[in-house]
Amino acid sequence: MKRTLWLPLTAAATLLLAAACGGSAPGSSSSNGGATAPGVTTDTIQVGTTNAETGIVSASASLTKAGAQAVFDKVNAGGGVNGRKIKVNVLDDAYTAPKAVANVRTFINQPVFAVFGGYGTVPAQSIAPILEQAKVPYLFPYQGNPYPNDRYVFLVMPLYRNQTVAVIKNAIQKYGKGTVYALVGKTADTAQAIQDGKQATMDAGGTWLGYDEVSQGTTDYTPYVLRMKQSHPDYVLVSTTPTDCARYVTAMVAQGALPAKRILGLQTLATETFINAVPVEASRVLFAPGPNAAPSNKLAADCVATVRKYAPGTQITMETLWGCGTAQLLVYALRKAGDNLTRDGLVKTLEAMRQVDAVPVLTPISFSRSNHVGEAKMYQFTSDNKQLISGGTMPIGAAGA
Amino acid sequence: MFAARARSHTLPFSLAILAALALLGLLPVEPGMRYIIVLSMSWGIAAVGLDLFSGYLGLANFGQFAFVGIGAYSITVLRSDAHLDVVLALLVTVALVAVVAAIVGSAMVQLQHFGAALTTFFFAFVLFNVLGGNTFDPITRSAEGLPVPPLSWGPLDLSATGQWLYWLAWAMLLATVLLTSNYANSRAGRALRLIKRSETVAGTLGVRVRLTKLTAFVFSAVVAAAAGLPLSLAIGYLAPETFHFGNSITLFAMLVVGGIGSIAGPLIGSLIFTALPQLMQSTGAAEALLFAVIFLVFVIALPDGIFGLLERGWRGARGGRPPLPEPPLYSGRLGRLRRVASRLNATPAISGRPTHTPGEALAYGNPLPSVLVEDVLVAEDVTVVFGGVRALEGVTFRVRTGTIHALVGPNGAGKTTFLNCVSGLLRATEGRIAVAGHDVSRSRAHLIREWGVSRTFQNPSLVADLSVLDNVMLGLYGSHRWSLARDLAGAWASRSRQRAVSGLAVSALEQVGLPASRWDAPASDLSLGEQKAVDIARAIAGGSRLLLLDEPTSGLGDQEMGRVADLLKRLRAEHRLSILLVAHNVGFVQDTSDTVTVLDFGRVIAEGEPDRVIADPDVMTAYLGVAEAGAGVGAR
Amino acid sequence: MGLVGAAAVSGVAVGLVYGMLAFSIVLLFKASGIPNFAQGNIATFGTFIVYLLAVRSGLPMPAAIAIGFVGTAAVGVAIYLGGILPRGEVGTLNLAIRTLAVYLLLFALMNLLWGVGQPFAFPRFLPAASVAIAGFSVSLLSLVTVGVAIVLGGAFWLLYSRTATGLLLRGIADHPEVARLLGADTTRLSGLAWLLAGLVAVVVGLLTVPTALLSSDMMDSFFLYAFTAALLGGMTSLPGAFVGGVVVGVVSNVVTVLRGQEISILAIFALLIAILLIRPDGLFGHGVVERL
Repeated sequence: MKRTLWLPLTAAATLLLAAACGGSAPGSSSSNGGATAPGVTTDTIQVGTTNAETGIVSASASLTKAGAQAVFDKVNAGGGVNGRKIKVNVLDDAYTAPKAVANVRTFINQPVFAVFGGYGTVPAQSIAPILEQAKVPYLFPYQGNPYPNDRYVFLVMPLYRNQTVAVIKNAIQKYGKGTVYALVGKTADTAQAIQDGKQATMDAGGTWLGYDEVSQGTTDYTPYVLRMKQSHPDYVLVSTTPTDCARYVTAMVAQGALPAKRILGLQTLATETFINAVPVEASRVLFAPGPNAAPSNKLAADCVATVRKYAPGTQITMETLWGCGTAQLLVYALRKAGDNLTRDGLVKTLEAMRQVDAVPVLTPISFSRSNHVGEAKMYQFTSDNKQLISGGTMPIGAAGA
Repeated sequence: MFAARARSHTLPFSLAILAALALLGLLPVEPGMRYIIVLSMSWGIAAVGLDLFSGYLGLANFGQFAFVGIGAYSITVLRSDAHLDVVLALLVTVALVAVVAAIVGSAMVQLQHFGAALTTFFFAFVLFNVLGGNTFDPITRSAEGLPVPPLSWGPLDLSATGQWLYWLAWAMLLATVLLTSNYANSRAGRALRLIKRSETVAGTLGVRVRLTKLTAFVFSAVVAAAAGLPLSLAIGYLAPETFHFGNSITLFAMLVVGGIGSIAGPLIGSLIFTALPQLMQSTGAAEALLFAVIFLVFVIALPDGIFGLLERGWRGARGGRPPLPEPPLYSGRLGRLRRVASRLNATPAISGRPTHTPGEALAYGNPLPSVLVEDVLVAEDVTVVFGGVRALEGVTFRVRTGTIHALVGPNGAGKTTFLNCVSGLLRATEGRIAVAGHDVSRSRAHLIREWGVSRTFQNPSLVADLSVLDNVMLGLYGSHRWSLARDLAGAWASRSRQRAVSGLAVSALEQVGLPASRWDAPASDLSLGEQKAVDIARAIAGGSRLLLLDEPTSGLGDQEMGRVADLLKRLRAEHRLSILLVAHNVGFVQDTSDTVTVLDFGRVIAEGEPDRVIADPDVMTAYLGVAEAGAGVGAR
Repeated sequence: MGLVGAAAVSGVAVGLVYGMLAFSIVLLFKASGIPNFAQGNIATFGTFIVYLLAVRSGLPMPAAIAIGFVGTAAVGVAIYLGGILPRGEVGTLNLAIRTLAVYLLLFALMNLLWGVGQPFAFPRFLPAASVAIAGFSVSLLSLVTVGVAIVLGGAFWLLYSRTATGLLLRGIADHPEVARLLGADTTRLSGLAWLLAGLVAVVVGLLTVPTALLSSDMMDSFFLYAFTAALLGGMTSLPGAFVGGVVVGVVSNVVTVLRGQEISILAIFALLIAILLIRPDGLFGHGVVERL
């Protein structure tokens, strides 16, 4: 039995060595060198981003990252924020909780000053509690789920439930009263969104016909379209992942079941991904809110120029502009927080913001002690021949407003 | 169906890896890396459990990770909603998963081949949808996700950031490895490996095939569910995506790349697949492609996995195969046992009830005096119809106790069909078969084995990766009441049975005349003649009153044939063993048999003493198509 | 009942797509003795080839489809030659796992090469119209699907019953040793089977993509249902695959319309287990005998 041990022990030892050596992440030395806060030195601010670099949503996620990076590159080229350059450590989470958690643990240990950006519900939900507990600011992820009790989590995009209320109200205002049918994907906050949507419909004088819930793995949306079709709704609200929204709407067209008035959606529909994926008949009747202006809008000109200069070759879409806008907001907040940069200081700075208009591509940003969702307005989107058109804004209130 | 080798006694390898992991746990590794290793240990638990089912039993199971999901959710929900203590939550979860696995498994084990594989994959798909769907929403919180409450057990902080979660995962992994190793290397494990080789043969040796498969399935499912505990504590948040059905395939890839059927291999595989990506930090798409390529390369070119490579390397380092010990050396770990066994020629005291009623003698394997029945086998009007073919038609004959009776006939006459009827593999359409006075026409194979009928096969169907001795010990599978629980308790707990069983196996091997130097060799190393000898040893080791031999001499040379003839005569003379043999060789039949029955097209056309029957014109017509006295007939 | 009827009608159409994919799976099972887990992704890969040629290279659709056919058939043959043919002494489970690895490989490859910007809208090659048949609105795509299925089934029936190659193909499936003894070149015949399966795969992909939108995981759930259909029909029965497909399509669509998708998945699962318990070889299959 002794003889059988040496080779596996050697192999195990090699594995162990590899693990121990590979275990040190880049820049893991915790010495801060004249720092005021973890992740901050005299000339750098270290930021962490866990992003869906691979997987189904990676197309959109990589655009948000690229848009943000262009802004940071521009700022760093101009000397940084208060003399500090912004360095971003981007790690892939493949849109899964375990990887996102792993990334965040690495960030906390690195350490980073704050975690910024990221895409989607699943990673955000899994890392928010960890960051809150570690008192690390978690800023502006691309998702609309609520974190009501978290002091360190700041959102820009309005919550899904509020978007639902606003889009229904504004659509009825604009296009007239009618019946509403909804197809909702099972994400966090679905139940609340449906309840609020129903109430909003009734408040605006419309009729709520009902809703269908879908989860992942749908092969064929035709049955759902058939169910909706028999009610002949005026408005159909589609609120699930962009891909599934596109599939459902495509099936609607195939079955000749377009709503009498409009297809409504949340910000997932106000994307080029969706518009390009559905037949033109469908995109023509779209009405959805978006958190930032369309590329064709003059409010986006600054971001478009920045991305063209600092990340040439990047497709300029709604997601790219989102990344740019939120990055600009972060830079603004860091500047405002001053030389003596601390995590709590940043939190206080953010909470003091009222109707800040410094980022043209976003709507005015307000935070407070009790409100950590920045935007109170979203742009209204329609589409014409495969182009997104943003015309005016719609107010997005707190729940029920 | 599945030819990959399983490995016995790989515990030293597994323990070495666990030791390395323990060492790693003591080093000051950064928390991110620590977290990754806790994750990979959790995957390792599931992988080792799966290895028992897919590696040792050889059945595909593409739904293992679904059970991890059930386990993780169940434990978390019981802890956070029902406020149960973690140990209680774990026990309740284990019970729940055992029930679910028993239900799914009882359907699955009746399915053939890939029907079973798809069913498990579909199950994983169903679970993924259920976790994200409406039906269990109040419990699982569906897509919203379920936060996992941090755990402390007494003074130990088992939360994700605490030090002790690592050791919890490590301890659970150690327990899993020990249990699985005990299972794989015990009587139960040998039965699994025999089922992998041939379910039919296993049935004739007394293995309850479906029950055994189901038990293995439930075991691997329960182990997977337990893995949910460290996994959920580490991630801290449960979402359906974490238990996507693709993960079951990834788990399988870990098995294959690590080395399926070796327990240590899946450990290696899980460490590599989980830890390596973190070390690489490359973009995910290229990494996914790399892993798929690695997986494919291993399946095609290195089916024994990394473990196989390590094994080969070690053997190469030692300079080739070690020389076999000389007879009659009693060397190796069995040496003492063999010496003991051969001194006790009588049956050693065995704990547990024997399955044969005292007073009914077994011809071989029980020295008690017996009241014997005159005809050990009676076949009356046995008819077998397959579709449009009448394989046997009104076959009637008797085999007297203590004689050797030959069943001969041209190819396709129905001889093997008849043996299949007697051994319970086939149910006769009409007619009656009685063994030692008991009607076995409607009995299942394992019951017929208990009545003392054992058989060999044209294709010996030995388990290639088990040693000769292990193969023969399978013949003793049904000879004592035993339970899986005692097997799981380990070799030390079963040592009395082990001693008795290997003693009996050794006597059987000595009986058939296989030299002791061959007893430790893997069955794949044996010549055909040796394999047939081992097949006979396996058939008689557990005690037998009627031995059915299907072509014991086909493929053998003159000398070997002579040895088989001597063996049969010895068994008849010394032990009063009754033998029904199917053979083609006329000389062999004349030499050994007391009586002969000739079948042609499923009918008995002649019966009696060999010399007379061979000269019978009907028989000659059947064989040669020509009625010529003495023409072409004679000993080879 | 109009709702159920409409669901059943659309279920037949999607069921024929499942059936065609199942057909190709059974075809390969009969030729190589294993289920090809990569069959769905081969279909997706072929569809990507057509998409790239038609959209990024600007070829006219018929030409793109033709080249796509050739390309996918080549992929199928390549998998056979590289992955299945060199088998040594390994069992069928090992071969089946190889196809699993190919499944992962194709998926990773499609993500690496064409991951950015998914899902893509496939250029329409059929007008999105519907026709009224017996009071139900049937989409043009469904009608084309039915037509293609009939043509495909008919073509294979002719191949198998009227041509020498077809008879040999049946031979290698049921009695490989005998076929070899009779001089059949099993390598070439198996390669032919994989080629044909590749062709069927890309047809299935093209019929799926108008509603499914082109993405790397487009065929994932389709494949699962198709495999179920193959097992329902009996892994050794080619016509059974179509029957199984229609059963799966109709049941899943009708149950979804009445109770939602989650229940429908459970229903198909229950159906699968029930059929396999009652008739282990499927509705039309026959068992494999073990030689003792």
